[in-house]
Amino acid sequence: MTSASSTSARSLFADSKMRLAERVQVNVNYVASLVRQIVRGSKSNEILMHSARNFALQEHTIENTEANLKKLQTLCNNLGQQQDHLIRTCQQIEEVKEQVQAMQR
Amino acid sequence: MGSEQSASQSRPVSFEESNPRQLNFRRQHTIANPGGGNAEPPYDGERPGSTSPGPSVCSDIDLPYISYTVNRPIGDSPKLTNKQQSKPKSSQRKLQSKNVKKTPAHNIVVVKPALSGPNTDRDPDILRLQAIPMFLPIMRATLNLPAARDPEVLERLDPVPMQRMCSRYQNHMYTCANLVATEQNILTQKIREIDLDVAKMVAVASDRLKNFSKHQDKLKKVQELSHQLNKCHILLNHTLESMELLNNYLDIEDRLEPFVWTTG
Repeated sequence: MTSASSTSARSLFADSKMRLAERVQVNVNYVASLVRQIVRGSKSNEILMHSARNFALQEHTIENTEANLKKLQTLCNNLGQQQDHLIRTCQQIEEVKEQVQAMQR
Repeated sequence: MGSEQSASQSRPVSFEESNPRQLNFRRQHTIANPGGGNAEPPYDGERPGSTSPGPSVCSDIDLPYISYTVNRPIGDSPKLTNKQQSKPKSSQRKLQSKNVKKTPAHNIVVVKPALSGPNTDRDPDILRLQAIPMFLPIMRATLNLPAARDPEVLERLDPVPMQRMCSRYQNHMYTCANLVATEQNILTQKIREIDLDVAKMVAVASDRLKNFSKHQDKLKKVQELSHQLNKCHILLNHTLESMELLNNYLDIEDRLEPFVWTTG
């Protein structure tokens, strides 16, 4: 007897449970659509994605800048060496002048 | 308040009298009253804990009051009472109880009136129960008649403030996103400008390097010139010495005049 009552009572409960679940699901869907409207209405997602993509495109530019800076570094070194050479050469000119004067005597 | 507590509570004596079909099981605590069962009831020796029946023999853990609802329905709709009784309230021991017959004859025979006891109004559980505000069920008990429940709920909600709040939130998100996007754009422009400047600097430096290398090449000639002058000087000295030596080897009559380097 108890088993029969349990099955009949369970079928009763099942129906109301299903309906309650349906109502809850409907409400949850409402809330979800509202939030989706808010998120998509403010086009924050698109704007941020757009700006992020632009920023990522600058990667190539930044690499270019880094290569240029390294070239600049080597150029600076070369210019320093040239400066030293020039100084030495200018001093040699003075010596050569003296030699010529000595030869002329 | 009456219908909620009518059938789920009963005195154990009357319960046993009216339901001989119930198996003689030992009175135990219900599942819904796990902790409060050890307190001795102040009035006569009822079993400790709530007066709700013990766990039924069938394994319906989630529906402990099935025997009541099916065997002893109270009103017309057993479904209504099922819904109201399916929430197991734990301690309802001092509420009024009625003896209900099996047949739905609407005649209630009170065998013995319920004892209210001196501490009825001071019982904390009863006070808590009485403090519960009035509420309606989530869904109306109209399983067979689909009533229009929606407008009743929606009429109580004022949508205008909600809409205003949502619009504000939406605008706020839009503004924040725009701010971030403008900052990022500024940064991007600065990066590009810096790249251009660095490229210009590299061009200037390489130009200078080229010019100075040309000057360097020209000035290397000076070095060569000095080398050659040194060689020339050495050779000349050597030649003069050789000349002197040769002149001395000759006889005195054939010697030439001593060589004097004259600058013309």
